[in-house]
Amino acid sequence: MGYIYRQYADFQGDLAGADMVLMSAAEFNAGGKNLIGVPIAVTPDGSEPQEPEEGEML
Amino acid sequence: MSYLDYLPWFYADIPEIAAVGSAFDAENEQLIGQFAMIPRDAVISTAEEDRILQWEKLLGIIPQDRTLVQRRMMVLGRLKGAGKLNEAKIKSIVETFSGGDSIVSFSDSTLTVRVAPPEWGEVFLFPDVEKALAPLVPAHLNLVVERYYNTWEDRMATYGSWCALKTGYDAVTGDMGTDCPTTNLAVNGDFSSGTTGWASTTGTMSVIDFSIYDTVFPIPCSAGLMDFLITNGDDVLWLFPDGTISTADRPSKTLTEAGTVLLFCTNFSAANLIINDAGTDARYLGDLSDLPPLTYWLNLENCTNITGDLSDLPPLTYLLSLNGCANVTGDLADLPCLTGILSLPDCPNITGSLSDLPALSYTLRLSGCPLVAGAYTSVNGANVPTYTYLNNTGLSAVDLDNTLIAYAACTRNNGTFSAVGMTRTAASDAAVSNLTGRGWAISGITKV
Repeated sequence: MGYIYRQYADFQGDLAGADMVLMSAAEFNAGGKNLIGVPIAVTPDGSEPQEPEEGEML
Repeated sequence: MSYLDYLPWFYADIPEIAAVGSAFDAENEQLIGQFAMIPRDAVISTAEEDRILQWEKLLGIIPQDRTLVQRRMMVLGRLKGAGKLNEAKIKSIVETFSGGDSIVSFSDSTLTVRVAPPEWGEVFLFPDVEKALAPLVPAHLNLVVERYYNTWEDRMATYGSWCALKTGYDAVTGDMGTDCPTTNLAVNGDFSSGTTGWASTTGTMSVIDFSIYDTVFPIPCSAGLMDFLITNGDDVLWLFPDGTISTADRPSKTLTEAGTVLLFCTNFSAANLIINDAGTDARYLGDLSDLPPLTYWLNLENCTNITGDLSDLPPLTYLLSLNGCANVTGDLADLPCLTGILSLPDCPNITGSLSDLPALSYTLRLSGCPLVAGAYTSVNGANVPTYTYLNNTGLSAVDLDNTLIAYAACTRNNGTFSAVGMTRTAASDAAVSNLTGRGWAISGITKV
């Protein structure tokens, strides 16, 4: 929905309004869970979350 | 076979014989075509135009603008009129046209013939009935031939518009009028005492047995595409404001002006019946309180002008989708007990706590509902939504912690959980770790 994902490995601490830090499950367990104050997206392999089609959710 | 096939082969090399054969074959082919017409022409109801023309000349009938079918009826009607005129003969003549019954009465030197609803619709020219009877009636008697049924044109002539028709029904408690005493219709209610009603498209009469329906779904719409879809409905019937009808599941009717479409079916409460607005969207102007007693699936996505309260909803059990229906009000506690899908994004007037929701098995969408709060903890086992969208809701960090912890305790793998604009605390770290380790994608949440 128009989000811009910043890779956790490249994250320097600054994030624009609609940005989100993207990390894998392994990165989350390896320290990403301690990231505070920024929205994050965690997926099993660190790929961007896939937005399902409208009909897919019905 | 051709002419030459009946001769020794060497005749084919003689030019004169070949020419004779060719001429014969052409004539023979035409003759075979004529043979097929003989049995058809022997019966008036199937006779071709040339034979009907001969009958018309014989009986002194002027074809006028009748179709071939109507001309056949006129010939049959005139032939049936031979001999002494009595009630049985009159009924027989009328039956030739309508395929149905008639009521014959006599008083004050007037012979009155009332034609009952036609068996096949009004495919005949109604004035032809009187034209067939008139020559048989003695000169000192009057003859009156009238319909004993109503056309939509009759109804519209009485009420002026579809809306007035609807209002008229409500105002007179369902009575359609004295000339149609057996038909009652309550737009927002039941067909309690009605038996038979009639509707027609222009020029063609259809007879509808309304007694089979006990519920009607009124669908008020603005002008444009009325694209409602019904799936698994029995005896589906749509009545449109212009007087036309349809029995299709998805008639995709374009309304030239605003009006109320009436949807009839005999099993609105069936366990597999689906109502979907499809592409109607903002043109649907209805209220949740007018919905039929659905028990399974209602999708009114993007019907942004719909009004009503969640407490007015029918007892749905699987799916409710009211995406973008910003006028809808109500509390989550008033929802029917759904098991599969609840989709109410961008319904900002909806209030309540997620704790009042049952365990959904497929989708929960409440993004853009800022008055919704609470933790969703009724999930259990595999009964947890595969897709969960709680973006920009009123959930607190503790609500979200408890929700994630409840999800992690479930057995379903590979889901999507989005809560953009929401916060959580370290209390749900283990839950997020557990879920993402089992294939879940969790996004949008800020840890505080």
